[in-house]
Amino acid sequence: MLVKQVPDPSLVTVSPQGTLLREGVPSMLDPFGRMALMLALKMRDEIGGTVTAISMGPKQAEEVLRKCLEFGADDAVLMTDRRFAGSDTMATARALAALISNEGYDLVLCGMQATDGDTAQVPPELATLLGYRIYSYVSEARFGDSITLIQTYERYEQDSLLETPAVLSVCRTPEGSPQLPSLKDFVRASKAEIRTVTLDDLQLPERMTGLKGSETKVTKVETYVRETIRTERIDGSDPSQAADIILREVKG
Amino acid sequence: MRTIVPDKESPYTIDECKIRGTAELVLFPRDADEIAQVLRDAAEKGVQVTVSANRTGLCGGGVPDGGWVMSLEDMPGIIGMGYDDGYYVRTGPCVSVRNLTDTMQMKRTEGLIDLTPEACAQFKQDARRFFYPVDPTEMDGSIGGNIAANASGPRTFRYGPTRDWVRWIKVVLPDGRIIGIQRGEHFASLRSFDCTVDGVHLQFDAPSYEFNSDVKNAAGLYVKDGMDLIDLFIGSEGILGVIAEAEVRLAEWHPLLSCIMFMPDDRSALDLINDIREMEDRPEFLEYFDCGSIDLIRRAAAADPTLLMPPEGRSAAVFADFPLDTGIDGILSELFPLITKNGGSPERTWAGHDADDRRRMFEFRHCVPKSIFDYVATLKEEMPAINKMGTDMSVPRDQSDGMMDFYKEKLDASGLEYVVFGHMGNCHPHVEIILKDMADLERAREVYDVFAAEAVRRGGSPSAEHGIGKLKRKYIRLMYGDSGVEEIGRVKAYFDPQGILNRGDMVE
Repeated sequence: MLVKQVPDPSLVTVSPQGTLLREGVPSMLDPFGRMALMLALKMRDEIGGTVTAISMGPKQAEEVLRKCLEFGADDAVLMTDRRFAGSDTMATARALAALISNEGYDLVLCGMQATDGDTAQVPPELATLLGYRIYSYVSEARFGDSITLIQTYERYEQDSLLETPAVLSVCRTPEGSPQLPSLKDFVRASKAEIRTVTLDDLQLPERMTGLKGSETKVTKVETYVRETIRTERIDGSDPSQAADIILREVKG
Repeated sequence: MRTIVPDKESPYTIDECKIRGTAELVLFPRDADEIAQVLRDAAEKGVQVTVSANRTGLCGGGVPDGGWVMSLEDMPGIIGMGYDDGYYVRTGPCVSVRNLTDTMQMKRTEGLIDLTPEACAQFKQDARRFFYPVDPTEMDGSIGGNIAANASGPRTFRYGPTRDWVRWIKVVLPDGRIIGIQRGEHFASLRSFDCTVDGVHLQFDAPSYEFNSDVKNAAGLYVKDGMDLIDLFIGSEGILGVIAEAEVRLAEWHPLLSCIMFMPDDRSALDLINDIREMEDRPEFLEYFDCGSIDLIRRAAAADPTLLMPPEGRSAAVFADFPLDTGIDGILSELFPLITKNGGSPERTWAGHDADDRRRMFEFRHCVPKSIFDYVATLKEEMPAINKMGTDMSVPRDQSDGMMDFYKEKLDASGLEYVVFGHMGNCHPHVEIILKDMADLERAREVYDVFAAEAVRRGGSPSAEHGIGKLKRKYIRLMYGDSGVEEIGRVKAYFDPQGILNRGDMVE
């Protein structure tokens, strides 16, 4: 499962130019990534297997991987290399996909989006690159002979049977998840080793990732205020009366 | 200067003790000169002035009994930074402890002035992190209020109370004169002060009673032979002057491991606390929650999913913070057997160390007093005269178990429902009586007085951190006798002969 280290969203502020003021703000495990971790742990407990936490980022991203281990992940991999720096979502997805296919993971869970960039693009890009199915906005998993995923799209829900290989983007914490690591798990995690992977280990050309592999560039950040649109349901049981109402509205 | 006429629902005539006062006018001075102006005008008109900041006090200190309210919320915020043997911050009086802590932790020095050359830039570039270490639990409380009350809290166990962190204050005296008192500059000869501060000559005797500093104590004016003048104002509950600005020192921050250990019952949690106190490396913070407190949290968490839910099954808990550095392995290998010996387990212990987890653990802790405040507020609708009945008494270490047994015996005999939580590291638990009706209030008042007398008898304080305000004046007499009350009154009259400032606080 994939996690990202983000600045604490409750403390981060936004500059007048629209960029995040991260300086001095403590980092934390991305809240949606945490949900993905919880679902991954639940799936492991229900169906077996192991949970590997993966993060791409600077050396200090090790902290969030340590956190995943504290919550019960079996092992952790940190993808860190200066040549990854400046990756846009696609360049990130390429690097992640390279690691995942090299290691042969068949079920990838990630948060629906990270709270710093908020793009929600990495999971579907990753699925496309890997040729895996994508299950977006997974809010729940039900376990029986097979696994049913509940996907939540604003007001609508969809049930799907999980077929692997797959990428899941997760948007809710499963019920009964641990709220904090136990002291026992803390001690176990503090002794665990975190594996480091560099670009050379991935056999990915340098031009495919990092700043060089990024086709998009943020030039400007603007706040978009959506106009409120008034909607009204018109009773259509009497068509001519309804027509009158519409006519009145149109004529103003 | 802004002024408003408060209505019946005005936030300026009430504080967290939920007793409603009255006032004719609220004034909002913007600097020390305007504070002086308000005080001079009031003296001329013979009107009393109650000072108000964030109104988080628990003893009615900021609740006016007529006259004017002087709210300090239009005073400056954080002003600047300096460095001598450590960093310090100059701030206006109404800045909340939370604001101060967050600003310093995140090193947001933009707009602050340098009190010593390049202090802000030096602070920003310093690889270490710093914080204001007095954690009064109520993080919305103002720094001025914290100084006036000499606030303390769970972290006093390691860092001491507010007093230890204040290096300078600017005080507006009731007659409108303004003085800056620097720590280390003006001392009493035994109890007699005779000094000139910023051109103001002060000559008076501090009270002669023994102020108990062996326990956490916020009852009465702090006094000691050869004391520093600044210490007379810190903890004076604003009866001698108005704190217009202050400089507080910062401590170096280091990572901490917070542990909440769930224990099978109250006794096992208290035994664990006694064992932890004896550890080679003491924790920085040591708090107790009885089973009733955990039940309160459970109910609150059921209604608010952002709160941490205690594990299933009835339990009490011990909350401790340990420094998270290379020594942590040694600490934990000492701690594990203590937990299991007393019936807990490392599996039933929460461990958090990043900012987010620790914030949630502290919300969990704060949930107990908050639930009680909220509960009392709902009772107020039906019974306006009811108020919170929570003890705030500390005793010496060797009296702690005896005092806990005393609380239990008296409360069980009275049939009152109660929860116990708080600063067991400092032998200072809060016993909160859960009142249901006015008859409960009467009984609670009776046992409360018995507790106060018992705490004093055991060499403790009846008001360890909340202060005296208007609600606990009788305990001043209990501690210092009639002569002590008179002596406090004499110092008050020296600074404020007309008695216009914060009348009715600490002494009549």
